Amino acid sequence: MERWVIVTFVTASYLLVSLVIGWLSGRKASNTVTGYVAGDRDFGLLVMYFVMGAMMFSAFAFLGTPGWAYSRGGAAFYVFSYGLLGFAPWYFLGPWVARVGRKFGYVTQAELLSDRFKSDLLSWLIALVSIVAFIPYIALQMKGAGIVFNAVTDGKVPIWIGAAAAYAVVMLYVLKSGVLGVGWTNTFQGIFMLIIAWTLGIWLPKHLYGGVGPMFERLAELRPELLTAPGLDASGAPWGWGAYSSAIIVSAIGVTMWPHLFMKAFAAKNDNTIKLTMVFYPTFLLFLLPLYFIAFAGVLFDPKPISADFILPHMILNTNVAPVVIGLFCAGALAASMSTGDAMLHAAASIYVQDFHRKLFSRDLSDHSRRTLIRVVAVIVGIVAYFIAVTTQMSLVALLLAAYGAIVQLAPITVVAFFWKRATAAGAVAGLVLGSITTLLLYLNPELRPFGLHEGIVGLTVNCSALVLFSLLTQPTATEHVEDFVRTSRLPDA
Amino acid sequence: MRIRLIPALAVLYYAAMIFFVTYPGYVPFDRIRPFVLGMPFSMFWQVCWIVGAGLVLGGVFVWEQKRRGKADGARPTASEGGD
Repeated sequence: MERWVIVTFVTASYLLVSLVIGWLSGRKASNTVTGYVAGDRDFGLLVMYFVMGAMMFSAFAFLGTPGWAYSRGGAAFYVFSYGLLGFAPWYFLGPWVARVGRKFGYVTQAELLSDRFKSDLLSWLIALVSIVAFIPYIALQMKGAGIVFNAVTDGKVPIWIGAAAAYAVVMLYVLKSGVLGVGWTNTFQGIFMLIIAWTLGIWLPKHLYGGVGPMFERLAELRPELLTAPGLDASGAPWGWGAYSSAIIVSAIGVTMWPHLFMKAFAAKNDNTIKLTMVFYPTFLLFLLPLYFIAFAGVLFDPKPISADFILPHMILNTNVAPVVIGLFCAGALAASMSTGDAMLHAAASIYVQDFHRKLFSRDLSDHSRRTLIRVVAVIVGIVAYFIAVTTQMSLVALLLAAYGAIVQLAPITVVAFFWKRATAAGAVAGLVLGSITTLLLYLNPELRPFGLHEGIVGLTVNCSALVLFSLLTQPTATEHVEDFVRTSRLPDA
Repeated sequence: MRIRLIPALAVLYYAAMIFFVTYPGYVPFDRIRPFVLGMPFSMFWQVCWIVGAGLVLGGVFVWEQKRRGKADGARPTASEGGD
């Protein structure tokens, strides 16, 4: 049998298993918005661990990060640092978010913040920013899935079919099972990714160089510049410490603020589920190691890939790996893409309905109509993202970075929501808007950045100043409500 | 506001981490040799902080459970950080 047929067969089997798991997992959820969006707040440790881990490791982890290690060396180490620092606050923040969620009935980040500040405007703004950030991100995940499928089948499966196949499965289980479908498929996909990555990551260096140690010995002799931070920049020149360090800080804050992370905190069964997830989360992060090993194995390997992002599939295809293993690798890469894409698709649709549509058009939508509407919006978001993924060559990454910059700007508001009772809606809106505009302006005009600082850091400074200033100039938010909010966040669950 | 030692140590760990994985704290450890577990030292250093984070948070968790066991029912408003 030809190689690509076996590869396609293995990958299709994986997709089928994902579909079955996702389809069946929704049976126990209640027929409510809380059931569909937050899994009736009943996620246990196993599911939570894999949801958090697999959601974080997207198609970018399987393609982009190894691409960085391959072409830019130690620059890629920054992913270790921001991945860890971004999740660390959740050990404390997670339980607070979950407690106020249980008491006041929130299922999204915007609901939490807009209710704390009693501002619908804030709700719309956060919803818009989140959705604008999610759509290009989902499109990138789809594209990643299509590209891997295309590469491992020697071009026999076109990108648009690969992306459509993977995301038709995602769409079906998200529509049927909501967050429970996301949770259980991520568990399966997460285990799958971990096994594939570690097996290939240990085996490949052994096969090519006789082990991880000997491989790095060779690299230390021939390409020592790749083995230390801050590594190289995109053009191959040495990268600066300033850029390396501020990239870690800004990315970490961005990770902490991702709206779908909040939504998963609302899904947790209790405080301990979130805390233990954060205790074990570093083990998931180590999953980058085998991917880096494969990427470093590629540095001294001929032939070279057509682009650095292809280093992983390139290595798998050119080292006499059995076709079944190539299929499993492809499935692993799809798992990485799908386990991020599904959470975002689900989050984007839920946020649109809960925080935008409901607040702007019809406040008294019934629970049933909201669930229906979320499903309809999920389909629309999926189609739009798919269309962007297969048609545009334009800079998705630019759009993504701009929206991500705005997500980072949610950090000060979130912190003051729990700590500074005097913070008001006017302060929150002013901080978010001015911070985001500053970030965008500096992103578009890099020459204006003071001291070459990352635009997000400058944005945060403006944001915090505006937040404090406008809060102090306006009347305090309903004191009793704020007292209640802060007190609830600190009460350990019974 | 009472600062509790164990969670404060955890926060301190992350503050130290920010220093030691960026400029300038990373510089002395950002070197190829000695190799540890087959990895260049710069990479092993990153792995250490990741493993350490798991241990520190695990320690905080165990400490919290013990403390709650002791104070069960006595002071339900006990909390981290806060006012």
